[in-house]
Amino acid sequence: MAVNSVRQFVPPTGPTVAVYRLADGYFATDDRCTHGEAELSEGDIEGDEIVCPFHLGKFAIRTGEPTAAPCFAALRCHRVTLAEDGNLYLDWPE
Amino acid sequence: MSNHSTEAFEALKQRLPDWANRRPIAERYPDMDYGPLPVTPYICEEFFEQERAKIFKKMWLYVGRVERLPKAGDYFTQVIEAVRVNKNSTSPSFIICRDNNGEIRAFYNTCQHRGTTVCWNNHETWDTANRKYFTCRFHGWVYNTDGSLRSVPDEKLFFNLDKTTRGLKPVHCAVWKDFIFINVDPSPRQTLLEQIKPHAEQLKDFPFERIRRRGIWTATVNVNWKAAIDAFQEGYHVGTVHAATLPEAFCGSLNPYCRPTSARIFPQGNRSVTFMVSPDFTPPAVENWVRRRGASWYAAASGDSGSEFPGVNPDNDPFYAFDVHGVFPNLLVDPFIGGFYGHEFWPISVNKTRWIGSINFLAPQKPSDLIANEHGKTLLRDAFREDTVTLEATQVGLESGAIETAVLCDMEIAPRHLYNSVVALVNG
Ligand code: FES
Ligand code: FES
Ligand SMILES: [Fe+2]
Repeated sequence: MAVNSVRQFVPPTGPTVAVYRLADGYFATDDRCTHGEAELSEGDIEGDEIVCPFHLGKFAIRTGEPTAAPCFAALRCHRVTLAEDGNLYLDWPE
Repeated sequence: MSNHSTEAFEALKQRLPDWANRRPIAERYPDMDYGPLPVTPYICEEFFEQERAKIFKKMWLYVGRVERLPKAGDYFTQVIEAVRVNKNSTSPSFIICRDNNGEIRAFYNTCQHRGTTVCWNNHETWDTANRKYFTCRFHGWVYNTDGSLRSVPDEKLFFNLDKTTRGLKPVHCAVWKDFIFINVDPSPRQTLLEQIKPHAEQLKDFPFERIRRRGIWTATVNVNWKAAIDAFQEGYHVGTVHAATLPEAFCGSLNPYCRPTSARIFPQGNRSVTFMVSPDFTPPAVENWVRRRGASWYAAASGDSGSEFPGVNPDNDPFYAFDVHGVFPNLLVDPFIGGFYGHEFWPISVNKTRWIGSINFLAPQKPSDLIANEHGKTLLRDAFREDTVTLEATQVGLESGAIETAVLCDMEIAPRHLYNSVVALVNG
């Protein structure tokens, strides 16, 4: 993944995840925007925020906190780690 | 071509029409009525309403070139006054876009929730914008680039909302050689190709797809749309109106009045007229410099050098310069060896028209082509300005009550044919 990019990850169970790469590491949140039906993995990264492709609401990628209307509820965050084998691993509750 | 005594020159000269003794266009089309034209169609509001109903709301209208929409999600908007619902309605806006599957589409720019305009771009900037989704700013309804309704905020509160019936309203859209046309008639009488057939046949191999826009200009002018077109489709005015830019290029000892060397009349208002370069013309130094390095703004004055640009000069006229294709109702496409000029004329009211002129050259192959293109663009810009200068003065006179008919000569065949074609459709 390139720095400042986002992509969708489909886990074996549960909702899809948006995985981000910023300059200082990898992050992950729920893919579905909390305002509507958009997939944030289709959005654009601005600084350390993700901009929703539907109504241009924003979330802080590191914390999942909403930072611009019309998004008011936070995203669930997930932990990702870059292993020595070069693969990214996602902590998944199930 | 400054040496007028060569055999080649004499041979070309022999092929010119016999203007001294004949009116060659009337001889070719003897059935046309060559009488005076009453001015009513240029000034009458009721006539204009008929034109809107019977022509602009029924026919394919050119809105832009595919080069404006290179990527998925690229779009532009266009307001088309001539297709407004009633005389006093606000004019509708359209979205013309390339959807995510690469298809060119057109929609009314109208949200199907409560009607708000979806994209608010200024349509006169010729900017291409890009969106992943078309989202209405009012309540945030989200449309896919194919127009289907993707998402409705708080959808559960609606009553039996069937999203499949609430997509952006499409309009018919068709592309010919990178020219995009739309048709607001829910069931068009003809296909685009049927409507533009004579031009499509004549220019089927012209390399439009490799030609790129180099300059574009617009002006909203107080003039009837037909009178505006007419100023761009006859040569009678060249020696007078273009005195400051290019009269010597077209007017000289062989053709002082810039008569067309040939003209063709086609069904349904379509026509084409061919103009010649004056062999007396000695291009200025800068022009010569440009000609040695790239395409200039008209062909060199050699008779038959159109092989790279098939379809120009349909009658193989001597001293060929360019053709004016009148694509009915409101488009002129003027191909020449090296590119084409385009003119759109958008009626706003009976005496107000938006003109859009462009110059387009074969995509540059080398840096010097860019310089040559720039030279042509600048000269043409000034000539276009001259062409627009008489328009308002014409309309003032037409509305003055002091002129009942216009009289047109043999070389003003294109204005006459446009007039006749419009009158036939309105009265038909
Ligand atoms: S769906 Fe994300 S901001 Fe509306
Ligand atoms: S009018 Fe467009 S969302 Fe309400
Ligand atoms: Fe002119």
